[in-house]
Amino acid sequence: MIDPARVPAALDPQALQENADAFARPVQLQRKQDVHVVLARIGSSWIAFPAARVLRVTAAAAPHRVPHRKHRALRGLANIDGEIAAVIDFASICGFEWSPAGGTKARMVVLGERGAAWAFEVDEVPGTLAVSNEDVAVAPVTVSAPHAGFTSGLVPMEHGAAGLVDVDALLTACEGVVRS
Amino acid sequence: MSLGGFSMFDLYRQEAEQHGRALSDGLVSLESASDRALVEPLMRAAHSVKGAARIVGFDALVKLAHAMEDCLVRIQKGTESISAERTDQLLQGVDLIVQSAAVAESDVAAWSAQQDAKIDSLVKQYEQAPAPAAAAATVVPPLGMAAPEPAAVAAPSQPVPAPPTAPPPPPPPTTPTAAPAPAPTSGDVSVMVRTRSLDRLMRLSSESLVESRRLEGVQQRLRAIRRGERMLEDLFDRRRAGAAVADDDLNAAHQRVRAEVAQLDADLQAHLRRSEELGSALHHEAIQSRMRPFADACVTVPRTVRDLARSLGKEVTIRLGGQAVSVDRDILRKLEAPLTHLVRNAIDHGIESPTDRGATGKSAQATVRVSASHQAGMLLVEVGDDGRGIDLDRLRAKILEKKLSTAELVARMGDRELLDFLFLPGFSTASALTDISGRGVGLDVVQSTVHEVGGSVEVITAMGRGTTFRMRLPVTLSVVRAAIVSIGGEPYALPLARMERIDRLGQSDLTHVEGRLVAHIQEELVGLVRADSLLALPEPPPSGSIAVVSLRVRQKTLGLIVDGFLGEEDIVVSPLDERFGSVPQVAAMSVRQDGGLVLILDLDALGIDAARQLDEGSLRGAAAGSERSTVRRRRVLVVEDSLTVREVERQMLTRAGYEVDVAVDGLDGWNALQRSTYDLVLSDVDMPRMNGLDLVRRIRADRRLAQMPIVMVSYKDRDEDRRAGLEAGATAYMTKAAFHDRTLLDTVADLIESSVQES
Repeated sequence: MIDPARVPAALDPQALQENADAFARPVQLQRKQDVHVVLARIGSSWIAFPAARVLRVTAAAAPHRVPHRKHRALRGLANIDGEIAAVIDFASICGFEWSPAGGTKARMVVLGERGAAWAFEVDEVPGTLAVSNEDVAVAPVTVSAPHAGFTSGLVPMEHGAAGLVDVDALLTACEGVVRS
Repeated sequence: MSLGGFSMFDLYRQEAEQHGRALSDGLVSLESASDRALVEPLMRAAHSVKGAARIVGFDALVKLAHAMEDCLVRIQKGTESISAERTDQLLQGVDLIVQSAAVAESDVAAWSAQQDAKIDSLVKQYEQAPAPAAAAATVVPPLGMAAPEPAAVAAPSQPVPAPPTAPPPPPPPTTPTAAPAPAPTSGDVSVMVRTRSLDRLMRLSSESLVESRRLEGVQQRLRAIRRGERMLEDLFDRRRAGAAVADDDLNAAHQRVRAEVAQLDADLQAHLRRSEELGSALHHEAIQSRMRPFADACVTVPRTVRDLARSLGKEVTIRLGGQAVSVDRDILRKLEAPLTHLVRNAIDHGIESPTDRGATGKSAQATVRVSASHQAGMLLVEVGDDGRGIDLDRLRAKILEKKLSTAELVARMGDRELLDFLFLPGFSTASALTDISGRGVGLDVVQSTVHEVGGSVEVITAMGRGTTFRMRLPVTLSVVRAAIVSIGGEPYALPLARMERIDRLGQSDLTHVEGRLVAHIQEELVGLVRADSLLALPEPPPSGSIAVVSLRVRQKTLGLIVDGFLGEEDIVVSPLDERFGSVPQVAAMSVRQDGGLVLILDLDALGIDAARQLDEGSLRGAAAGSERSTVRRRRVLVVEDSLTVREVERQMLTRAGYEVDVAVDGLDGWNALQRSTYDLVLSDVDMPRMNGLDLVRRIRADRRLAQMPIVMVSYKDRDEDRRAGLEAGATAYMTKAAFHDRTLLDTVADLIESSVQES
């Protein structure tokens, strides 16, 4: 790694050569199997969605409710950039409530695949995070229980940890939600 | 032999079908018009069939077509006159030609052997002069009874066929190997598209290609802007470095960039406009290419009319209208059966015998009209006759006889309600079942076919003057003309075809009868059902006026209460997200132009469910208990010193259905509260004379107003401001940012609802 403080103001040929050599050296991976996640905040909880499964993150669109579908986690259907997505209240499906009265969410994390997209309303998506697999801790029972089995681990963050979402388990539950 | 994917026999099939139809139509018109000029195209058609049959070695057809051609030549020359018998004989030959088009190539020999006797018999008939007597008869005896049958070898085994609507299917194979061929097409289905439509599609797609390339010009302009920008930067850099740069140079460079940007803007605008136009033209044309002329649905009609009238001894002229009207090919295909049925029905039941017609002073010659037209975005197809009309008294008797209703109700029913009974399965007014129609499968099948494509059918009749069946159908199945209504605050589409009408009603139009909400719509007392409760949606805030969508279900009109009518749109139908499985009462969905979703409701299902729930009285919307939610408008007092904010709030709330009064400051608001009663107060914080906090405190101190829900709205967003508001006694405290979404309206609705429930 090059410390910006140590980069000379004017590069001499020798410094350039050193830089070139440094870049040419194979990168020494200290940790393997990096986990890339999209971080999202819902109320005071932090959620980590595996980046590979995230189709896009967009501004929240108002969903159209679906008649006769009564599951409280189902918000409806929305057209997100030309794709029809089922909009799911993440907190409800996980079994925790944060939603203030009549509150609407700012962002949506869209998961799944084309033609079968699922949009989860969240408050904030500050960005992505890459951590080592070894750093992902097994979720304590107290965390995984209310998440109804959607948390496969804890991703360390600057202050605390985010629950790593088990996307397959989540989407399986969603399929039940839209039919009930 | 194969020609670009078509076998020679395929070509024969096409010729036989095409010329067979032309012959069939032409012979019918020739018989009624007796115009020799009409014969020539028929001769050519017969000749073409002969030629095509010869190429594929279909000898039996060569022989038949040759004899037909000879016979037509004699008629054209005038050595023979056209008679009903001759027309019959020729039409039988045409039937064989059409049948032959359905024969598989491998079965030609078997088919020829089987039809040999019949063909020989026809050929002999064509060669002989027809019996002169029957031609002049006014009342033509039914087919197969008195028609002369010249000595024919196979006459007993080949009776003259009953009047067909479609050519009879090929006879069963004689040998097990010669199985009847399935339809010649397999795999990819090819359809006919008018060349003009195809040309337009080609042109439009080329144009959109050209249009997309124009973006390169836009890119060039963008580069020019970048160059200008760099030049400006250069000038600034030089000036910063101390060089002398004239203001004029800077201005000139700036102006250039500005002009380029303006031009870019104009270019982009133009591009956008053209792209939009092209896109919609392409879409329109793609839909148009699915269209066929209505005439395609009528090809068998003249023949049906002629054969049927002849067999019943009636004299009927057919008038076809709107032949060029374009109809979606799927709808056209579905239309054929109901159309044929209605035509048969008109001739069999509607039209009287020539004697009866004479007795009532009508011309012996009856008329059946089949016409199509486009009306208000719908396809209107009418089948009408000038016959006896439907006897409503007899209909009433029949309804009672079948115990479908009570005498008292029947006596009160209007014409329309009575006529709707005709569409019930198994309901027929024919006193005796005839072979022609009234076979039990009847108008109910017509109705269900029409409903299947999202259309409706009605009867208009006048005693002694005739009956008309009017079918209203969508012009295409992929785009639906729909009324967009708001239910539970969200848009839903109702296909216009299945809807009777939409009325905006005030609360004064609503009354209660036996605990149910009803309204007088067009002098009919209509039971009302809330759409949101049918769809299991929460009730929206009540509003002063409502919209009622009238539906016709099981011989009754019922009204669906929706929040409002948003307009009429053409929407592209797409299936509902399949993850949801089937959702009751929802037929499909569509993306609107603004990108929003709209669910398309299945009005049949909705109507039936509504009728059932109305009968059960289980709907809260129809019960008297909900009277207060629909009958009285909720009143809101807006207290705000800024004119703009006040207007925005007033409009938002009015649009949401509230009755709104305004006050310009706290004191004005307090006075208003003394004069009138409100369900909620919406107040600003900072106001002259009396500020919002003082107003709230004063309201809370008044025993009469202590429970009043108060929403404070302010630009002040700090926690201490919020706390001050809530401490003073406000029920909710919101910032003016809440205007941008539904937060404010939702809060108002929630508070009013909960205060209503408490009281």
